[in-house]
Amino acid sequence: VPAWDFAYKRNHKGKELVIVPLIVREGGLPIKGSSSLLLISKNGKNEFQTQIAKVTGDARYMNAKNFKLGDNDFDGIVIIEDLSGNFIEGEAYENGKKVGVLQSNKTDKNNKTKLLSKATTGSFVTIITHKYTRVCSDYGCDTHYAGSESYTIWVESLEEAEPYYGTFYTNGGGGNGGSGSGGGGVEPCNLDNPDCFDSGSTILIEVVEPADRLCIDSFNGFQGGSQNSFWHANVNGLTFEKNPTANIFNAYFSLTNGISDLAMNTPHDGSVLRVTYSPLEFLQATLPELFRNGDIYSRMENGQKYWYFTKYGAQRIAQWSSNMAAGEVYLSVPSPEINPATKGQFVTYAERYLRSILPGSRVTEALNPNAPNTSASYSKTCK
Amino acid sequence: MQVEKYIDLLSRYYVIMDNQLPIKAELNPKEDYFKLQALTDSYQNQWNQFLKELSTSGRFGRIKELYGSNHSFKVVLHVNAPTDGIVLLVSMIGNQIGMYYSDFNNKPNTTISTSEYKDYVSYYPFSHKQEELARFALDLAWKYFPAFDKFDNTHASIPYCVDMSENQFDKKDLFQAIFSTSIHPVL
Repeated sequence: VPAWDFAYKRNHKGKELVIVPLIVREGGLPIKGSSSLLLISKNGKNEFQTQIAKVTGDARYMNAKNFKLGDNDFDGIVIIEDLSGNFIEGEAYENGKKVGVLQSNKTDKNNKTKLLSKATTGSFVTIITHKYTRVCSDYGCDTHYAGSESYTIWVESLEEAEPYYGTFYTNGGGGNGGSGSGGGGVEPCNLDNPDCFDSGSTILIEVVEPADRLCIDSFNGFQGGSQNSFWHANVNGLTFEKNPTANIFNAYFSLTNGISDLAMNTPHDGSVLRVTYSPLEFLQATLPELFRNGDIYSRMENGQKYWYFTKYGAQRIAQWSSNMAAGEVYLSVPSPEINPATKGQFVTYAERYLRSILPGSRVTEALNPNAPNTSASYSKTCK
Repeated sequence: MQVEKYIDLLSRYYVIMDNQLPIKAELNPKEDYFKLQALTDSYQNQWNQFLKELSTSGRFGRIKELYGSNHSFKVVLHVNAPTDGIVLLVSMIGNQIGMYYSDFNNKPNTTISTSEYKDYVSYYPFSHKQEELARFALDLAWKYFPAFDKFDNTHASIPYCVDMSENQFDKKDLFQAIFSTSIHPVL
């Protein structure tokens, strides 16, 4: 939604731009981890060009800034899109300085990466930027994960990334074997030689995210509890770190099942979100595929409607709450890797998120000897 | 039981930061807390029989057992499904039986400020029917848990905070601490 009252003018590359802040919502929630602007410029007498600029800070930057975007020390990316959401151009910033040119993930007809920029030497870096809503009230602020965006950028002059240049060069098509820079050394790729970046090349992946993500096969051992009124399991191997070395722990999850339609449609204060949502609305916004696939379903009992979910539904909801808790711990605890209180925090956040969609659910540090065990597996590639 | 005694009781299982209100506890329980699981397990048969007799009594609509914690049992009892009911808990901390009430159609006289559903829950019955059925459920609970006391709900809302980290507290109350539960409506 354009906020016309806050529009302003600015000159950019010799053109006068009218810039209108956009209020962006995702799943009904306003996104505060990024800022969108409508850019209007005059191309001819009666011709205007409109584009959208998306400004997104990386997770660490946004947390340090309490989710405000700064001008002079901005870490993150700016993406220009047309009104249909097609990528046009973009730039990456570190500490307020441009460090890279964004390039789309599209390939040309030869299945080669389409290059949008010319530079000397460098490497591709894929940045996954996670977005968060930050909702504040008298009780303080809470954070809600709101999805991610992935962009591959061309970062100029990264001499320290030399080993990756070698990989590019080896896999490069078109016979680019080369003279190198002496002694059989590997010559850095450059954008004047696009064949160097053939498909199949290894790309340096730098994931900017609060934690590794749970893989979809995690938690596949949930079991129905008393009279199908809850699903439960002791989950082994939880964490919230990238490359976890410590703080790998276990917790017990109990997910309420068979909840009345009335309770599922009653808005609550939302202990995590501080927004007025009913559990059903929040579930539909967060995990819509569970409805589509029948993993959440309703049935009539004694003339009343109750909501149930399958074992796979329990698995996915538990994964979601664990990923959310991991993000919360990573963002809110200084040096989580060495903080012994983090397990308790993780469990508290995981339960808050669970309760937002399944009232009466529990996550406890103490394991339940009467529940089955199931495992968590993490990877950067799992989403 | 006086408030001080509840605090004393809780301090056996949790690190209480000082004696002032609101009660503030550290996030992680003491080692003794984890020994309560065995005590809870020893009451599992009595709990199952209690649920069975509740069901056969025919006094309640839906009877929904939920997981309490490793020191407590929990059951949701529908009075008029699905709009109102009673939640009954049995805790091994101080051998307590606790109850709270829920009604979607009536506003509570006193709200539970720490609940996400404060318009629909109360530590006091919403109706005479709830009061009567709560008494029935309590008498039945005493049959299987004769050494347990009824938790005095006049102390239920005493603030009890769990220190998560700097300036962050998980806000609960004495009832939620003793019975390890969130306060949700009838489900």
